[in-house]
Amino acid sequence: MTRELRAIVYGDVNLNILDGSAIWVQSMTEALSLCGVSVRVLLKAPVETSRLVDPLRALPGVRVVDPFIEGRAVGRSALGVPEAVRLLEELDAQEHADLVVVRGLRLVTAAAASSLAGRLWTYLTDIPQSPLEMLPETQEHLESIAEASRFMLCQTEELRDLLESTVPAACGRSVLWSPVVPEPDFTLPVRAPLVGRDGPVRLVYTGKFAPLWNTLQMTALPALLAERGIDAELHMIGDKIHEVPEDPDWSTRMRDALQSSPGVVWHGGMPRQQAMQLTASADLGLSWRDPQMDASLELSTKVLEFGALGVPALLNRTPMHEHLLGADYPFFVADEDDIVAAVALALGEAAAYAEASAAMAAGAEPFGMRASAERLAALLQRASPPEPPAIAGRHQPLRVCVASHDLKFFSRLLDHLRAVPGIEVRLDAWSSLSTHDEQVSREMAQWADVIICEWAGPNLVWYSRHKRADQRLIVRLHRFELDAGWLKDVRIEAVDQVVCVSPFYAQLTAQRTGWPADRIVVIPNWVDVAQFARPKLPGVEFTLGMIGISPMRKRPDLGIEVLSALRRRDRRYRLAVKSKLPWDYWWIWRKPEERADTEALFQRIHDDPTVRGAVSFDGFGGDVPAWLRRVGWVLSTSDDESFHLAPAEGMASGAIPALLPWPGADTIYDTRWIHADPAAMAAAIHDTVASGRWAPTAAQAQRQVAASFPLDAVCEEWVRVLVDDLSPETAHGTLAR
Amino acid sequence: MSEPLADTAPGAAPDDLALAEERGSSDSARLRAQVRQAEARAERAERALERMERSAKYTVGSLLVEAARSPRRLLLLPRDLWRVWRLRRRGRATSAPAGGQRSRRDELLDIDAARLLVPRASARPDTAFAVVGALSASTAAAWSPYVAVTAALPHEAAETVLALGADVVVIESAAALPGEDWAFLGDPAAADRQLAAQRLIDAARGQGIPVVLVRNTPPAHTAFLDALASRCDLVVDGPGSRRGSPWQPGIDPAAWASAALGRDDRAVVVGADPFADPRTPLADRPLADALAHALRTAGIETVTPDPRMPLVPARRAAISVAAFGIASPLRVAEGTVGASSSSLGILASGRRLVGGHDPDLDRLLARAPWAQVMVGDGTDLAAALASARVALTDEERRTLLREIVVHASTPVGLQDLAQRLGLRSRPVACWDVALALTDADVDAVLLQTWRPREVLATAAVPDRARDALAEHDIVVIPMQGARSRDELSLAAASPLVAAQVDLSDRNALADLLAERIGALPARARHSDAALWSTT
Repeated sequence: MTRELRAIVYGDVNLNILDGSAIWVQSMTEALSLCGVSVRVLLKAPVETSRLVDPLRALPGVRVVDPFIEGRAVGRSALGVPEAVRLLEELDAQEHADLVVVRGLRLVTAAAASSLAGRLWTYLTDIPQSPLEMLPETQEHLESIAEASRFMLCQTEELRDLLESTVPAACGRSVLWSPVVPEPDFTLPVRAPLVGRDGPVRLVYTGKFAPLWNTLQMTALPALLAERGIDAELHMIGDKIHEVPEDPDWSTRMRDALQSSPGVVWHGGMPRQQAMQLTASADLGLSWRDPQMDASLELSTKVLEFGALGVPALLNRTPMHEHLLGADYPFFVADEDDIVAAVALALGEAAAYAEASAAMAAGAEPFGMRASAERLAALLQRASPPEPPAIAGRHQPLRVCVASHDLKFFSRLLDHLRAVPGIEVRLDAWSSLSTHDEQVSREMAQWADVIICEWAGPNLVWYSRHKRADQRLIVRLHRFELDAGWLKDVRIEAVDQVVCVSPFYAQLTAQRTGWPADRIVVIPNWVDVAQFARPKLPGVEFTLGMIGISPMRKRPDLGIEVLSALRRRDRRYRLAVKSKLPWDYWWIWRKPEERADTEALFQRIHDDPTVRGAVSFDGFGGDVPAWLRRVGWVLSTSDDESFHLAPAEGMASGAIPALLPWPGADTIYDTRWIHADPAAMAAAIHDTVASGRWAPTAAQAQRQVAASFPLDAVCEEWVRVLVDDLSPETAHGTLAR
Repeated sequence: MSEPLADTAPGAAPDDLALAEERGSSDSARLRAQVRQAEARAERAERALERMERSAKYTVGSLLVEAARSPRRLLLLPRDLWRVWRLRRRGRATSAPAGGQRSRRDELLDIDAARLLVPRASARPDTAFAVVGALSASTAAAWSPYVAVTAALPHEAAETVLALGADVVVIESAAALPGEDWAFLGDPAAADRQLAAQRLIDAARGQGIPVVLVRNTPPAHTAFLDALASRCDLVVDGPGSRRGSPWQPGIDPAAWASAALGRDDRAVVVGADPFADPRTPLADRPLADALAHALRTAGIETVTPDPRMPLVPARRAAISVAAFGIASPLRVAEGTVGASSSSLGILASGRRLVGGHDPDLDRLLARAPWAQVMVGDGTDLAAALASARVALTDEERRTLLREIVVHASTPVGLQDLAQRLGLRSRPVACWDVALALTDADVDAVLLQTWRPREVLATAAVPDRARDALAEHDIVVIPMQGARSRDELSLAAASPLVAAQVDLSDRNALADLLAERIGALPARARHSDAALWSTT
């Protein structure tokens, strides 16, 4: 980092007890420390054992705040939520924190209503795991939390998808913060093949003992393996034996089994590194669980530890595990028979054993501390970007006013400008395209160094006539404004830069308005590639997607035409639509031609046997990245567009774009994605799928979008244009890289 | 990130929408909080209204009002009231899950819009049972010849139930598999589908229609549906699921029957290919590998349905070229429901089935064990394949099909489901037989493996015999003297009539039915037994 950031971390967890929450505090603090952040860790409870606290104190730039010793806490009992929030605010007041990392629904709910809102990095696991279980009150809390969060840290992709789908404010703020696996402090043993093993196979289990974890059944495995002629021993590490109210004898049976089952060696509890060392010496790890656990949205840290140690795990086949290890991982198990077969396979086939070990190591690699710290550094950079050279050295902040009635295409740029040190941003929020509080606009014209008009509407007309001579005026023109009559009222000599999103519209703007070409430049729309790059669901190569099909000039009928042509070749193709429907917009639905076209569209969807039942309307919302996980192709069939972000977002998600040649498409997208007509588009799609080239082609598209419209580069350009004129050369050629 | 927006032309949008957009970026946290609280209050009020509308009092009142307005609804009133009573008796509270998108359907501005969204389907008055739901293509195909089936897509499901009504709403876990209409239902990446399923359940509840969750996929898949399961009236476990409440949905035997003998160097696999699917259970792989080797050695090639083609023709094409089939899954694990539709279907096509342990199939086909070629550890696979290649005789084919018709066919499976739900509808009515009876051998009638629904008695039936038949819901229709086919047909309410049946054979009626369904050659009989349709 180029400037030192300050963080406060509070996990609402007693660090005297070694459990997952405490480990989370430790790993988050360590990762922040590795990123060069100055961290204060607030303790919840008086220190009784320094087992976890001492390692924190030893980290560079970390200060452990013990409120019981420093006299900040009332009494000696563990902090309640209100007191914890009060202390967090107190620490922040003493030394401003750039970010406050908090965990736990009750604590985070309270913190969201405090002065810390906006700087919170929130981590929640204690929330409903299904949209059907999410009560309105919980949803309200989560909505407030999302609005107060700079980032919502999600343990798994599944949890992120769920949050975004049910909490609209979480969209765009939810990022992955997976469990972090500690680096082993010992040298990993060389993992030799088991073929020809002289001596017992060593299985290992670490963790709690509970019915759903199948730990009682595990104790019978050595005997079962012995029956099948396999000499095996099972090492079990842990000392937490659950009491089961509905089966009071269970814990006794479990304990007896640990102590007396043939082939079972019970080690009791042991420190993490020691447990890891013992695990590393084993041949196979056990994470075989009851199928009820298969729907969990949490990723087992034990599985990740096995991976970090290169120990192949025997575990349930779940979607999450398939994402982690691949559908062809050789040691997925469902029952004892599978476990016996897995052990036999490990003993009999060196290649399968080595393959499993490699898959585990590769799967766990992103969860290591180094990789986690790198991801954290990227988030810190996003939340607190360094001062850009373009505005460095100013004696006061650059004052930027954004005047617009509609910021839907500017929101992330606004977030960025607000985060950049040395820039102060204020809004002149027009209540409609042509109505505003003139007094506010006059004050802005007095205050600002730079005015940005988002949309070339009457806001531009007004500012071009009321700006100060020493003030910089920038406008972003999209598409519809070119047909509006008010552009003739703009005093173009007062405008410094006209920013268009594509070369085609830049040139069209020059032709239609006659404005000086040297002021017309291009900064493309942005795509937050990291937000969209998520694992695809199975079978996506057969799913076409359309985002936004209203009004009819978006030409959903042509999308249906493509689908029909494809389904004549292969019935597996489907079309998913993420959009409001025409009747959801009254100003569209009141137009007779829109209604007639919509009637015709739905008539075909219902009547044409080639498409009937193959088109789904998946609603409307900001959860586009989660929705794109089920889509393999994103279509753009419009009559005209200024940019059409949907194909770019599809590319970022790992889908392939397919466009019809609307005017200017080739100035934004690579011509390889543009097809002459629906028939050609269908032929290209089918050719790609049938020849098995979908995955590599999608990967190429993803690389291309990352090079063409990355959010960070677009943000940098916007900072630059605040103080410098961009080259008019940007208005020529194509944006595709 | 962009949102799927209608138009990049803001001038077209009304001011309130523009303001709503601005809210997201406004500096005024206070204003945002107020708006949020107001929206939450409105949502709570809507939910209270919904709860009121779902209450028994409100539902009964609405039904009475509708009955007063419509003669058709008046006729259905007893059924509707009974359903309401039944659902209330079960004491199931309708859930109110979260999800802002749920209310979108309620926001339709124009009745035309709803009309456009819902497919132009209609209830089929010629069937005794109507099902609407989230169904896999395979299940919809199997059920549609026998009952009125509407396989609804997520966006239209609730409206379809409201528009069509149904005897039962079914949500099938196989419909959530990739490529199906409800793909990824249960996956957190498709929360919209879970909410659509919830709307479907709510719509059914509002109509007094019971909702069934059929789990017929592996436990790792169905675990994601637990939240939905808790909201259904009945949860049953079909083939492939963990054995909780087992249910055999059956197959459409007519769709699988195949006159072609196939080539003896071809074996068919329908469903996941145990030789190629990476998800084949680890414990089955040694057997799968050994079997694949044995097939190669014997010069036998496996064929699978072409996934590009529509389901039923693709299946038929693959089966028609094969001499025998291979079970998918190869082995049914302990605690899992077996007798998959593909195993039953291959057998119904008149082919032997090579496969491992499947207790459900063994039980269903206890009278036709020779149709299965069991393989396992230590099996001589070359010999097994040789025996699998031996074609079934006509008699064996008939027996096999008869057992499937009687124990594992769609109408029988749905009849079982209707009984579990306490419904009076009889999905099996499509195969009801009116038996022309010349003597009053009631015992022989009751011993039939396929009992008639009606007895057309051309001789007097003693009261005691009549009572015995009535106890088994068999109606006696007196016919004086011998009658012609046409007269018997006219007298029968059942869709099928049988005459000249030798009741000393307890499978006589079932055999006739199987011959008709499978278009099998009639077996040699002492009598001129016949079974014909009244329509």
